Amino acid sequence: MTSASILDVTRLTAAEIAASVATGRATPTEIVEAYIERVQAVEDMVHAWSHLDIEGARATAAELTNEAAAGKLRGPLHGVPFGIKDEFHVAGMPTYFADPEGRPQPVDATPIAKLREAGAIILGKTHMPIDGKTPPTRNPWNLNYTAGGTSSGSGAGVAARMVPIALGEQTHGSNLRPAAYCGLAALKPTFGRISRFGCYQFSWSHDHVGLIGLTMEDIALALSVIAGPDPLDPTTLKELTPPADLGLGSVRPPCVGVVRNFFPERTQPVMQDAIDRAAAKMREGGATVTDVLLPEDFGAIWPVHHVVGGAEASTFHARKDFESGTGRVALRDRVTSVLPASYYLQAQRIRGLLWQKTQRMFESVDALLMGAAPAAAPEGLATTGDGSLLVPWSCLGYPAITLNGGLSPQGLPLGLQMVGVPLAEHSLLQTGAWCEQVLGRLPAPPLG
Amino acid sequence: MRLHPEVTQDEAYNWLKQQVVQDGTPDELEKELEPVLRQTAEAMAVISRFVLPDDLEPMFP
Repeated sequence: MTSASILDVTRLTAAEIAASVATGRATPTEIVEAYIERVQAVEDMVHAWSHLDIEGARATAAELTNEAAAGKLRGPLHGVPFGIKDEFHVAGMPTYFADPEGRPQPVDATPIAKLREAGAIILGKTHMPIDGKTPPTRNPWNLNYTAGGTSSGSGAGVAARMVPIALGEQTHGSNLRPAAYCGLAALKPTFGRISRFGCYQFSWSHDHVGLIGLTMEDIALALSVIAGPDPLDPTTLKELTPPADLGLGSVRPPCVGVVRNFFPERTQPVMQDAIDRAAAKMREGGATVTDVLLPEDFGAIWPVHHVVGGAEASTFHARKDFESGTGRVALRDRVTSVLPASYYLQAQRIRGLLWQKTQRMFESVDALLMGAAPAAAPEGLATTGDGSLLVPWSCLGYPAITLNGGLSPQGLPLGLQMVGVPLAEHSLLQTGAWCEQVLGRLPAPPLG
Repeated sequence: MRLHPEVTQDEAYNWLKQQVVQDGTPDELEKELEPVLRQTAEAMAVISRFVLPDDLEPMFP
């Protein structure tokens, strides 16, 4: 395959790949070989992967190619390569975050099992920052900048076009932050929308499986496959899975609330300008755009997240830390493990009150607009940036997506965040797709 | 540690430190714990002073 045709394939969206395979214009083998060549061309620069299963991907692609040739498609993702954040168990692959020795896991996490049933090709596990032991993932827009975290490899892998779509996860800001820093579409859904079975746990009531891709259409397609109730995860919602079709031909301009008191002290002028420019473009495109305010006491969300998440994390880690024999306990776990139960319960009561108060904001708007981060990705690789602006929606369990806010003066993506009402992923993604038409999408970064 | 009457950040900090920093805790670890102690104490103070209706139940998603 020529360099030009490799790049052509790797610039396709997941939906375009699925359509190409379904109509016979491309085979899964051709698709996966293009991505393997792309990985070989740029991975040494980006460090997006903790484990690549090239031969496994080729074998799966060969099976899918034969099936497609016989007129049989497994599902709507037949032939689409996926990256999987390392914290998810994938049968036959290591989960380094859970087991540094890298022993192959015996069973697929539920989202991975569903992806395989739908015909997806698992290319490998994407890198998470683990105690600085492995080379940090670099931002494909500028290799001297962080790609964000902890879904670092998923964000960078999609941005560098090594896969069209990837699974991530968010407890604080770990799915939307890499997407924002790398200029991509992403979804953190309503809590419980996607099963967490087989995913390493950080905080039982804050962990959300997420998606990072190129378009809202891709996100909706993948969500329609992996969402839904799972008897292996009792927190999964019983509600119907959102459909893949966003009905883009009939989406009306939305009512958008620009949240003017969403922690301006944490939002740098460059991000505030990006929010204002996006709001103006939405208004020009026919949206109703108004200024809205969060409840006065909304700032309590961070103490709530710290206490609830900290208590849950220290409880989950207690046995693992003891059995490791190293005596190492995370600093936060040492402190939050002594929190009185009354503080955990009171924090959960405050959480419920803020959930109710915030829901009332959607009586007049379809979605809330704000920054996904204080600014673009920071320079340097020592940290993965600031996820604090994403924490409120991880704590309340509201669905949130990233939008294109343009580029910073340094040429790094400025990611905006749009939040919807719980269980309304479909309309939030429709609104996101409408915004994509108005705001445009960033091109692939100039990498390799 | 009580919830009511509300606790100050300093009260929460001192209580947390008593629980976590024991005789024999290395000095370096004690220094590393300091920001987490401060952050957690601040969180406890905010939660302690938050006024809630009596009939509000905890939210368990």
